[in-house]
Parts: sequence; C-alpha cells; structure tokens
Amino acid sequence: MSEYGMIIDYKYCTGCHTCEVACRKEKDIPLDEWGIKLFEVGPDELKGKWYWNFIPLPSDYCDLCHDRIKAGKKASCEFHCLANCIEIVRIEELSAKMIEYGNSVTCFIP
Amino acid sequence: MSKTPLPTSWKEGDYTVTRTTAWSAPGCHAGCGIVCYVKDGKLEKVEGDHAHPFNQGHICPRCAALPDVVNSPDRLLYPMKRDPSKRGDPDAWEQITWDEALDLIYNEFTRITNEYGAYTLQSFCGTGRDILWQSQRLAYAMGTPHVVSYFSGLACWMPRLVSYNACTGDYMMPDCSECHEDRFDNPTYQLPEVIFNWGCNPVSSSSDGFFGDWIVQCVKRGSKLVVIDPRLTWMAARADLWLQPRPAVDSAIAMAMLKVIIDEDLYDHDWTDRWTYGFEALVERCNEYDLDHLCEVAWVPKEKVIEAARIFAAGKHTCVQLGLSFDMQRHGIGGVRAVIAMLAICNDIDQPGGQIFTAPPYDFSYFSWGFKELPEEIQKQLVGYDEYPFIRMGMVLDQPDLQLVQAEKEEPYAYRGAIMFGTNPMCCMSNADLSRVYPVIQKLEFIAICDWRMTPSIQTFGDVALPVAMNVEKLGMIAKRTGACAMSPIEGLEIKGEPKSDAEIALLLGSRFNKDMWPWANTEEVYDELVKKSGMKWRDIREANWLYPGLEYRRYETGKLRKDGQPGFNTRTGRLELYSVFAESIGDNPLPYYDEPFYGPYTTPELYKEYPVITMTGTRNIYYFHSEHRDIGKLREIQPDPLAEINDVWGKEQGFRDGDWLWIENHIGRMKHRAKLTPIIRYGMANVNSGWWFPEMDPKEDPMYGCWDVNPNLIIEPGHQGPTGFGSDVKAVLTKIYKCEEGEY
Repeated sequence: MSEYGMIIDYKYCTGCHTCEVACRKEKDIPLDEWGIKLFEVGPDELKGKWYWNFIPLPSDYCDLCHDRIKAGKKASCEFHCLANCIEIVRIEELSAKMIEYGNSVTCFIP
Repeated sequence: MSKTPLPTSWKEGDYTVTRTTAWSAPGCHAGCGIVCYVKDGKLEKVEGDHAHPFNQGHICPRCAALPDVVNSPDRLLYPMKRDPSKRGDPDAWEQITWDEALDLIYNEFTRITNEYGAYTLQSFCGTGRDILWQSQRLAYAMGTPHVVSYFSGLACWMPRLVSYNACTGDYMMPDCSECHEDRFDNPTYQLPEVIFNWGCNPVSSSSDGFFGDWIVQCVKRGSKLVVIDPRLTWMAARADLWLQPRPAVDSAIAMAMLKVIIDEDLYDHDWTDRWTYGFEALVERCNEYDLDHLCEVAWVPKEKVIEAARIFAAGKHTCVQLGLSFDMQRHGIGGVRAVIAMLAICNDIDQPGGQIFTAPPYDFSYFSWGFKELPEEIQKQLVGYDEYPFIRMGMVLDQPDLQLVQAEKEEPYAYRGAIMFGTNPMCCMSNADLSRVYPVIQKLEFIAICDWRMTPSIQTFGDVALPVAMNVEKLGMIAKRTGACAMSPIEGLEIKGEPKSDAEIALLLGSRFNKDMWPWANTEEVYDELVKKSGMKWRDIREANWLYPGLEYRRYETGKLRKDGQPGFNTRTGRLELYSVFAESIGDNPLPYYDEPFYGPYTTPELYKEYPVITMTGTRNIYYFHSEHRDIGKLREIQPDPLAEINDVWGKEQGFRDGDWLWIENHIGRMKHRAKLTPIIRYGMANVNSGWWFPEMDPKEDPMYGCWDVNPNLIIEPGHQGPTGFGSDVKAVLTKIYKCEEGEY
C-alpha cells in the first residue's frame, strides 16, 4: 500500500496538459504510452448550468514520484500544475484534506 | 532590493542547475521563472521556479517541453545561404560562416541602398518578444523606418495600448497582485471583488504578459468572475455571469453597460468630479444610444447586460482583463474607451484590486529605440505617418493595410530587401490577406531570416537563414510590466552549432551599417545602455535573478504619475480623460463609441445571406505558441490537427462529423480545418485556430509544409482598418462552410 495519495481538486483544473508533459518528461515515457492523462467531461448543460471539467488521472506508471518525494520535492505533476489543483499527501490525511478542498475533489492511490 | 538574492546556479546530484527566465526564443510574452537542469552538457529538464513571483513555480506544457525544443534535431545550427533563383528548393541550401553571412547581407542591402535608397529595405518583426527593439534599431541603423508585419490594423495590443494612453496616460492591467514581489501577501494588496474577463481566454493564452492563472488564483480566493466571450470557455462555464455577444461588437456591450451605470446612477460622483475630464460629454454620448438597440445588435439579453453593469459598479474593486478581441475589431477602440470610462467613474483606477498602471519597470523603454535618431525626412516615410498620427505613439510600426497597397503598386517606391526577426509570415501575422502578402514578400530581391529552425517562410522565400540562440543559450533581459529579469547562458550547457541571439545578430549587422548607433562591443554593453537610466547594469539584474520595483496605489493623489510631480494623471488635462483631448487634437473620436464591423449581419445583409456563418479566428491553445511547437511530439499529440469548432447541433444538421475536413470560405478565399463539433459555439457559427503547419511534411513536396490551405489569413480582407489606423475585423469573418471533397485533404 502506498504511503501517499494524490488529491485532485478538479474544479480548478484548467485543462492545460502540463501534468501530462511534465510526467512524460520526468518518467521518460514514450509517446505511445502515458503517465497521467487529462480527461474532459462536458461541456454539458446540467440543471441549467454548464458542467465542464478536466480531470487528470494517473496510470500504472505513477508512483507519485516516489524518488522526488523522498528527496523532499513535490511530484512533477503537482509541482508544475498551473492551477495548483494537485496535492500529494500522506494517505491517512487524505479524507481530512479532501474536506478542506470542498466540492469537486477526488483522489488517486497508486 | 534588500533581500539576499537566491543562488543563480548550483549542483544537484549529477545536474548543474540554473535559474533563469523563459524569454524567447522559443515561446511567449510571459517570461516565466524557470529552473534548468543540465547533465553532461545537455539540457535534460526544465522546472518552474517556485521562488519567482511571476509564475510561482507553475509552467505551461511548452516550458515543460523546452528541452525537446532546445535539443531538437531540426535546429538551425549554422548560417546558410541559397541563390534567390532557387527559392523553395530545399536542396539548394549551402552552409556558410557567420562572416560570410553577415558580409552577404551587408553587401546586398548596401547594393539595394545604392541603387534604390535605404528606405526600400524592410525589417520584419514578429509578435512582441525578444526581437522587437532588435529589429527596430537595426532597421534604423540601416537607414529605413520600415518595421513591418503585414498585420491588418496592427490588431494586436496596439489599439488597447494607445486607447489607455490617450485616456489615462499609461497602459493598465488588472491587479491580481502581479506587481508585488510578495504577491497576495503584500499588506497593501486587496483582492478584486469582481474580475471581468472580457474577450480573451487567458488560461490558454496568457497574452500580453498577463499570466492567465492569476485570475484562477483570485477566483480561488473569492473574487467574483464575469466572462464576456462569444465562446463558452472553461472560465465562462465557471463564471458568476457569462455574456455571449456576437463577435466583434464588444463596443456595443461596453456602451450598453456604461449607459446603465450612468442611467442608474451607480457611479462614484465624488471621484468622477475630482479626477475625470469630460463627464458631461460622456453622458451626452451615452444618451445618443438606445439600450434596447445596443443589446439587440450585440445579441445579448438586456437583463444580462444590466446585471453585468450592476456587478461591475458594485465591485470594490473591479478590474478587467481586456482581451485581444478588442483589437481585432474595426471599432474596438470605442469599446476600450468605454471600459476605461466605466473603471474610472466607478473608482477602480489605480486602486488595490482594481485596474493598475504598469509602465515598464525602472524607466526601461525599448519601444522604437532609435527612431528619433533617423533624419526627419526618413521618419516621415513611416507608412501612415500623415494619415494616422496615433501610429507615431509608443511602438512605431508601419501601418500594414496602407503598406500592402504601397508594396503592391510600388508607389511611391517598391520594397527591395528584408531581414526578418521572430516571425514566420507564411503561417502567422500576415493577416492582410496572405494571398496578397505572399507575392509582395516573394518579389523582394533579397531576404534574410533569423530563426531557430527551418520554417515554411525560410524554405519558401529565405535567401539567408541565420540560426538563433534559445533563451537558455543567450545573454538577455526582459523588462516585464511587473519587474525585470535577466538571463545568461545556463551553466554547463554545451551549445550545439553556432546560434546567436537576435540581439547579437542585430548588433553585428547594425554596427556594420551605422557604428554610431551601435557602438557597443557586445550585447552585455547594449543591455547596460538600455538599463542605464535605472543606475544599474545588466549584471546587477542578472545577479538579483529578478527585480520588482513594487507598486503603490492611488498615485494620482501623490503626484507620482506625472513628471511634474503634480497630483493627477499623465494626460494633457491632468485628469483621467473620459473625453480624450489628444484624440480630439488629431481628429479622432474623443469619446467612447460603438460601431459595426465592415462586414456583418447589419452592415452587409446581402453578403451575410450568402456567407451566413460568422467565423472567429486566432484561438490559442496553450500547447502551441503561434506557429511554434508543432514539431514537438509531446505537445503535438495533444492536438494533432488544426480544428474548426462548429456548433454541434448546427454541425449535425449540416452532416458534419468530428474530424471531417471542412472548407471555410468567404468572398476572397477559402481555408480548411478539421471539424470539432461542440456546444461552446453559438448555433451557426465557427471558430478556427491559427499558425498551423506540418513540420513532418517533406519540403521537396511542399516547401510551405502544408501551411497554405489551413491558414485563416486567406479569408481576412485588409483595408478596413479602424479610423485611427488601428483595429481590423479579424475575428468576425462572414463565411460558408462545407466538406472537403476526397483528394482535397
């Protein structure tokens, strides 16, 4: 079991794809595979309001940048995320931290 | 400046690490702080610099992919020449030395000068990056005033710049804390209560040196967001209010809101009385318009416009991220002035969280450096000098619509030779109808082009190609409106080939043409000269990594906006001019106004019947900058093709499916993109990209690398510039759309 989990505050993900490129670079992943992928949901008109979210999802390549975290750095996607919507926290802190983020937040555990 | 500077370079395991600034080439207008990791002489990775106040560690995918650009196998490494009779032949290039290249350019331009006059030479400049003062001062050293882009209506930033200057005496930006080194923690800073994001999508474009994510940060902290955009953007989907106007009539919305604010008495009487000039005339101007009519022609429900106006006036403070779309409409200047008037009478100017003055820091001024050193009779040959006095303000560039006609008719003279910096006119910026611009460029006798890789422009009409150094390879600096940053070649990097910075190329050539204008021994001395008013040297800035002069608010009260130290604004009347005295003095409309595009449903209803699809152009994607980055696999995979966004319901009715190649045609030409059906576009409208070419194509088959057919500049008609010479309806083209036949894609 991983010591850490990734919180994705997708209400603020602007869909810039920086996480994909930063991850590909960090892990040296070839172009026909992927480390983290940005999914687009919407835009759809739901209950009279626009629903349009980008949600990044890591693949099996993802170890939450174990080596970087051990060296006291942030994971590459977390570090570069333009909108600051990725945060890696200790797994036991996940739910408390998610409550802080409020709505439209999800998590990933490798 | 009291802080201890952070280290510029250090070791981290096997890496030599350097912090610097990503200021072109390649890339954008922002100049983010980056940290570069070099191993065995090679740039291995680039990370954001979390200590840098500008981007606070966040970078976009283009900087994340910077090593791939720097290490690209397609870099130009050495100067090359090709016989002008062999233009378009990729096999006719011959490697030469820098001395040979510089001699060749000098000799050809000297021959042209002797035969026809130096004013028949042109210096092409691309969008305002680290090539601007270089291309300008070199032109002036060559003896020509012609700094050129065939960019109809100079429809990028210039209309907003001159409008702000004419009314307020300086350029302005929304206050998202960007001018404070300690950003949101600055004790004098207050969050904007309301942000209007109007006519741009900054999270994709970060245009004009404004980092789009600053707005997201403000919204996270509690700012209310209003978006005005003909497309549903990600920001619009999250906004407290979204207005979806017809393209190119933002001035109608702005006038309508201004009218509501005045009619409902929502403005700050005291501030307006004390600090503005021309309020009565402004009220009269608003009285000339009917609110119902303005909303009707803008295609926005009146209730929404009223709601927007009330939110605007209630914000303490309100700021506006005013987009390029205002430039890309013939009468956008009328709308910019209306927005400035709203900000003024609602007391949002020079207030924390409001609209702030952002002159270049430390009095650095690069624009048109040396123009005044030209003999007056040469200055007057600037195209548009007499017709459009605004052209002489700020950044001095030829008026492109007039220049195109001059170049075509060869009256009063033909242009003979050109050098190009930071531009790829086959793909970008030639929106004065590419099918007219292309022959005008092609008939030049001699063309030298500076770039970091082979482009459609170099392959199609370059006679000399000069390899340009990347930001990590060169000495330079950027004077951003927030602060100053300098860069030098990063530690440990082994530079491949012999690239030189645009500044060094301009220095080497400029000093040959005019030693008095270019007396410096190296580029460091040039930058020392540029920054000398500050009492600093280039090295001081480099060693500090970045310098922020900081921002004081309400400087109109303390006399710090004016050279004479008197309270007030840097305008002729000393007040914020709702009625611009300068505009009046040159015969221009002194007040905000609304008018229709040259072609549109109301101006040319017959043409609209034949071409009923209003097509917007120039949409930016964050993974590409203008025509760059299509050759970088990590970025190209995100969007492999040029896409035309088509309303999904309308598109299905037309029988279009995602991925279909479509012709987008108007009365002067047609271009093609692939369909993307989406609800973000209004029924019956479309939106296309820009800057596309296909670096993977074999130039022997097509030296243009497929850029011609996919270029929206084929459907933009020049000659309809706004009354000031600025502004052009680039973003609202009347078209019809149909599927390409087999064999056409």
